[in-house]
Amino acid sequence: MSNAATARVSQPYDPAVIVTGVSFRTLDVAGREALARKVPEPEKLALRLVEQGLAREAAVISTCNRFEVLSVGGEGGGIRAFFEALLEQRGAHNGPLYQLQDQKAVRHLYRVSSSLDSMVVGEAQILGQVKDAYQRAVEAGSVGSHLHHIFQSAFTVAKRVRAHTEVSQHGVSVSYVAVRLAQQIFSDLSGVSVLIVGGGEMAELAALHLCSHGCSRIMVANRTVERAAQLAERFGGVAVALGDVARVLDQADIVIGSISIGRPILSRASLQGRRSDKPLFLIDLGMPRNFAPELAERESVYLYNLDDLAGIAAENRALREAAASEAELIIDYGLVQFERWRAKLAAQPELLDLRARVQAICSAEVVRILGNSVEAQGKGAEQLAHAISQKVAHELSSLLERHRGISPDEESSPPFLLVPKG
Amino acid sequence: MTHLCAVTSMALYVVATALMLVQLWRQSRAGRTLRLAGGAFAGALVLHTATLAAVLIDPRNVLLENGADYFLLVSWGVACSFALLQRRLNYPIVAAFLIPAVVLFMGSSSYLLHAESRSLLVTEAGAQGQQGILLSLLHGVPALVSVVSLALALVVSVVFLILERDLKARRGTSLAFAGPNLQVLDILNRQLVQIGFVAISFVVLSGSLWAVSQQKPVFTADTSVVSGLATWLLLAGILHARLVLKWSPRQVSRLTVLVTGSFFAAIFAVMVAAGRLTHAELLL
Repeated sequence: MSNAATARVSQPYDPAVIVTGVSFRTLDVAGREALARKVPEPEKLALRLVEQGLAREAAVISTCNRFEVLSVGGEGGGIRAFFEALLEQRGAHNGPLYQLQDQKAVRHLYRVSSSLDSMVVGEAQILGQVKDAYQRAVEAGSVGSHLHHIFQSAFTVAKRVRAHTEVSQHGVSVSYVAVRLAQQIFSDLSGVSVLIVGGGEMAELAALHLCSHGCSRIMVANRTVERAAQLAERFGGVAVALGDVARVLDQADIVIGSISIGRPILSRASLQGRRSDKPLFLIDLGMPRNFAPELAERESVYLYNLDDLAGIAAENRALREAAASEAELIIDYGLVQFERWRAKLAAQPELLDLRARVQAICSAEVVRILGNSVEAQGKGAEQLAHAISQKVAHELSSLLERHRGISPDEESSPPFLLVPKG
Repeated sequence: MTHLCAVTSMALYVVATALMLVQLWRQSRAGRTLRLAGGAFAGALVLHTATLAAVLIDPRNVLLENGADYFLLVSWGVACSFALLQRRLNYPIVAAFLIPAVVLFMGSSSYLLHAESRSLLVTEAGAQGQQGILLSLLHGVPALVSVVSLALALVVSVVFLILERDLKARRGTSLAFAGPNLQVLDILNRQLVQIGFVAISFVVLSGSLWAVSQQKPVFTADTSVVSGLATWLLLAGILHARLVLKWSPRQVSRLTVLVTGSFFAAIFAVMVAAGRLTHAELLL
């Protein structure tokens, strides 16, 4: 399907659709930061481009990973020069700026909205950011019917990708994987007690994820009680001295270790008094390891270290990327639908002209045949002529659309994806 | 017609299992395959119910006393329980084990092989009259509940052991995320064993009272009596391990698989060894 679609739509668009911008692939974070600082209100930039006549319609997508202008009409060169001035890289051939035109530009927007062009494929925020960019451009008054349709079709494609593929289904961060594992062990995270040993950043992040999934009983143990108290306060938990870990271990269901210490803080002996019918999830984020590896052999103890979690996250990332190829099919289909819309739009003036001509012919024939008695026949003759002309024009329009390959009834969803996955 | 209904139902169950396995292989909980599997299961259950209704209204059969029909009823009970537990057990991995259990029970029902199978009590003069609907309800229904609980506990324990092994092995993307969480399975296992234990205790008591009231021996070497007492002992053993000995969920699941598996294997072995498929006709 993709080839057929591409072959049919290789001609340039009128008006042209252009994407100009930089992303994490072409510009480092410092450069993107500088650009974002220069343009604090992207919607005003879009409006300026329209007012200066560089584009008929424009919208700016500004996120931490990209800064792009999507424009309709106008010359790409003008926007490019505008952008180069912003980047202070006038005339640079191998600079970070890229420009995509027509079908490539629409495809790019579809891929961005569907999170296929994100740093982490399948991340959920990008669709909201694109919607936000569109909304702000609408409010600024720089969006017309063309850009409106392009954005709406991009949202539809992105929703289809999320519903029909597994692009966003597998967690790809270590802390997310830890939460998913906890959910596989415990029926309800709200009743689970978490003990954090150490004040490492990753432990904090994992605890934050667990809290966001309902964990409310948090205990924090650290070498310095002040730091423990600080962390505990953040999570609404209690601080515990490092020496008391063995004492509170019985109350904990999840233990996150993230402390730099020469020997394991938990060994077989530490769990001797623990009931074997109570599951214990140990997340070892320390280096050297905080929990003795032989703990994994104990009944109802699930021990995961940093490598295990990172390994699962990497596998999940690979799964997402595999699902991305399915998503490309949906994008191809979205492009086919977009092309149909364009073809219909292009044919509209001709069709209107055809209808007017048929109506004129009918009216003229009525006058010719009935002559002076048209007035005597009253409005009935005119209405008859109008009805016939409408019917004939409709038949001719349909014939013309079919001849040009424009399907009158577009499917709302791809024929290969009739049932949503999620 | 009844036979065709039963065979079609079993075929649909097999199709549902195959589709669930495909879905399990794809590591997904949603999609067209799962919907198709659900449809096949629903269709099978409707035909299964029709088969059971046709068998039960047959005047030659006595409710719950014909061993063949009893197994048909057990398979129906397992299928219905699965349908009711969909909210907690709507995972391909659970279905992939549970639906074959339904097929196994249904297939072992001698009705499918011997259309002329008869109840033991029908052959004994006057026994049918003494049975009565009340006894069927007080004795037969709890017995059915206990056997269905046992079958469900077996499946739940098998799934628990598979998932737990995967989580222990730290394989995140394979089966570990394919099923319900371990605590849900463990709680379900405990509840099933408790329900089964209460039901079988009621069966033993009501059966004994009935025997006493009819001036019959309380214990006979009939398979139904022996299997009833064996079920009571097995369930009591599992509960004791869990509640008194505080065994870990893995150990309890292993015990459940061992004892329930042995129980069902013994019943099937007796049926096969005796060369018959109507277990009510067997005397140990």
